[in-house]
Amino acid sequence: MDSLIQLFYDEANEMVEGMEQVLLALESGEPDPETVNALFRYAHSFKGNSAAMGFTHLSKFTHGLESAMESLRKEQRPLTPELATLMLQAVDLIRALLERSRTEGDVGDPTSETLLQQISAALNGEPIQTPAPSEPSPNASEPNGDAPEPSAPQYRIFYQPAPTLSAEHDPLQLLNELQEYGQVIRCRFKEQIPPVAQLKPDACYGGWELVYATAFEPAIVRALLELTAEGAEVRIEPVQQASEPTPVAATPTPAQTTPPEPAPETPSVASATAAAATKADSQSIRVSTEKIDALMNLVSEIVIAQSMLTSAQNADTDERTRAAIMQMERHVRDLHERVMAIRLLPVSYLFNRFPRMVRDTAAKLGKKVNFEIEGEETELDRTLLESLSDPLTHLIRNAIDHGIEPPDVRRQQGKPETGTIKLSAYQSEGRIYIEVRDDGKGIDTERVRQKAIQLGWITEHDSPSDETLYDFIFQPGFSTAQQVSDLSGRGVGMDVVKRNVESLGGSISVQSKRGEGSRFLLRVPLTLAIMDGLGLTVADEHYITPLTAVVEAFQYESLQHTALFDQHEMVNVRGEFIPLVRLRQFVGLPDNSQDGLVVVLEQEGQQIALLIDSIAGQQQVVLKSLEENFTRVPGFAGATILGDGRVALILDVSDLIRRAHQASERLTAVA
Amino acid sequence: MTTTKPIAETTETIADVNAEKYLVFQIGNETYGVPLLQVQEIRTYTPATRVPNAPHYVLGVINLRGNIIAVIDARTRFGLPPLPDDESTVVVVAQVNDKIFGLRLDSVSDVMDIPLDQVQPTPPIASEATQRFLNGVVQVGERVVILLNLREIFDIDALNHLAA
Repeated sequence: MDSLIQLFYDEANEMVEGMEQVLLALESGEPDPETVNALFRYAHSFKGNSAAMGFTHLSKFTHGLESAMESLRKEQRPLTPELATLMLQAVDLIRALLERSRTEGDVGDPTSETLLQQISAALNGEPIQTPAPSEPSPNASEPNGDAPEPSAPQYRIFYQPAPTLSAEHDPLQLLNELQEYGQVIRCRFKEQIPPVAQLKPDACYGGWELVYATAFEPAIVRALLELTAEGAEVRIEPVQQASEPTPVAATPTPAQTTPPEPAPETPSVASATAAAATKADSQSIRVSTEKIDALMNLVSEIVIAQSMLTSAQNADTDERTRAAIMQMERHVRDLHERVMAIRLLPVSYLFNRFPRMVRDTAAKLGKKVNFEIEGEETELDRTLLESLSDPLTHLIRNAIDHGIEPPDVRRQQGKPETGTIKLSAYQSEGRIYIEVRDDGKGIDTERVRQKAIQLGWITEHDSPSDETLYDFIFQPGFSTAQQVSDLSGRGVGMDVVKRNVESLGGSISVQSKRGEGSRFLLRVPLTLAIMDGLGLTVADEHYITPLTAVVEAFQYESLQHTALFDQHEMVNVRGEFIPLVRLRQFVGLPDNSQDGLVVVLEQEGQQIALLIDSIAGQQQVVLKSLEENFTRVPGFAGATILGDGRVALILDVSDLIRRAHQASERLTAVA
Repeated sequence: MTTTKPIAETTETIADVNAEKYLVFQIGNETYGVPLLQVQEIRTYTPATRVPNAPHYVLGVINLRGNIIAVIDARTRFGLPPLPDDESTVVVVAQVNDKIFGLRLDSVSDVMDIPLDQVQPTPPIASEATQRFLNGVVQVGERVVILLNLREIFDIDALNHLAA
């Protein structure tokens, strides 16, 4: 779990930095839609990640920020310097909150609301002032002539007029009056507006939060406030002057305001920001995969050189050289293993972050979801794993939001109230497959069609195939969600998913059936995956089979065998006849062996017996793609490099089984 | 080949402008050349791992610093009987499009400036099948160099087609 949190922070810091860089780039140059999109994507991904980690405040704030960015994106607004400043402040706030979340968990910050309001005001071209420009707020930067000297004690005042506030109680007048008794250093509008259903149109929900310096006693100030506004809620708290930053000009920068619950020992956001820079030295560093690849390849070369050195020993080699070679061998093996391990992680590393997200998302949407994970032990290249995080987050969220129906709808349709989302990973035919399957309502092709017509992608008269319609889902700008929620439906999700998967050299496909659910299948190449392999020898050739597929091995002579029509051989393993595949024959070598070993291989419940000469032992192998520089080789999942630098091909067990069973079915059908 | 280059009637001093470096080697009695720009490296030949059901000119696959690349035997590809390995047998590692492959050669002899404006189309003496491997011939001093088309020699489309 620690590694998961660490990963979140690593990624989060990366995204925050990304946002910052993009903002800076935007500010200094022409607004280019791609850059704005990048900004948007950072925010979107960050929001998703923090929601998955249960940091609701962070995710909520980022959602607000994202909405603001949306208008930058959609309406191509220029990024004014004021707006850029505000956005950067927002990024600072995110960073500070992130830092605090390490020790304090899911924390929010009172300034976040204000900042968002300021941003949206700036977007609408309003001058940046105090948050609500229409509200009666005195100009805090200009103290009255009779203002007390700055050394006067400061108070934080919360002033919430009674809900029945009417014209005779003018808050502006009150605030102006305050100015006569001291200095209003800062004034912020606070609102606590209830949901529309409970909203009383004539009630007052606004209030103010002031930082006020006065030489008068707090009791007098209180009396003044209560006198002017009957029924108001007033709280006055002293401010520790040491921790209070010097009064600033009209725009209160959120990073500099202290939280309203002034617990002096709690570090303010401002100081947390400063601390973030120093504390952020994390336990891990991010290294580009090219560097690791280069390291990995270099190590492979050393392994080969090492084995050459080992085989160059002869009877004349002296004892000291032998000892050195042996020691060297050990270290090289160690090094090799460690470098390989840098890149490989079980997918559980990624999958484990989803149950929480599913739970929260489902709860928020009022849906019941049973989340299943399968194949989490599948090991995957770290790069792949990290790059799959965003696409999977989107897919799973979409499955909950758009796939699974509300419980009552499901009940009406005779489905169990609780929907099921299944996330599984497996490796087959030299690729890693990751599947997100739900038993929800499936994709409404008609609605997709309507939307595509609306977007002008097709005309009223077109009747594209379901596959074509499914493809539309992955196009930028497409979203059928009726309203924008913070979960999905901004039309950014699926095109990002597709882009991410394709950037890994993978592909994504979808199958769906109305009323029964959808299945998204990600196929990613096996650029580097490790597995336990069993070496198999025929003649002087060496092949590898995944150890997970091996069930047992027998001497060929010890088994009873038979052949259908003299050509399709079967062996009897404990009373069950299994198709026999002669590896020699399969790889095109002359075959007349009547002895050797039979290895029983199993995949997806089906078995074959593979006749080989001998077993060469078990070893860890790194799967290498044959397609990258050559072509797919039928019957083989890939290749690996043996300790001596030679290449060995890795059998594709599921392909072998499929061939054998197809052949036997053909034969029995003829019979 | 269809790319008929005009035979230059200019003086020899200008010929250098259009010259490109080629790696040249002997196969049988003839001298062949491939653009040096396409060549990544030349390595001594280490036995390749045979790939079942691959075309006969594909010797197999080898490990090139962690990448698996195919090795094609030039003699077999041109319909000549293969020669056994010896000290001078090499693999020329080349890149065509975005794939890397190795071409096994009896030996490499030289790097040469080939005046591209003096390249002539291949005379139709070669068989239809091998004609596509050739980019033309050029006379350089005493030698006649036959320029090879590595893309056609590797022909990944045909290999993919076989695998499908």
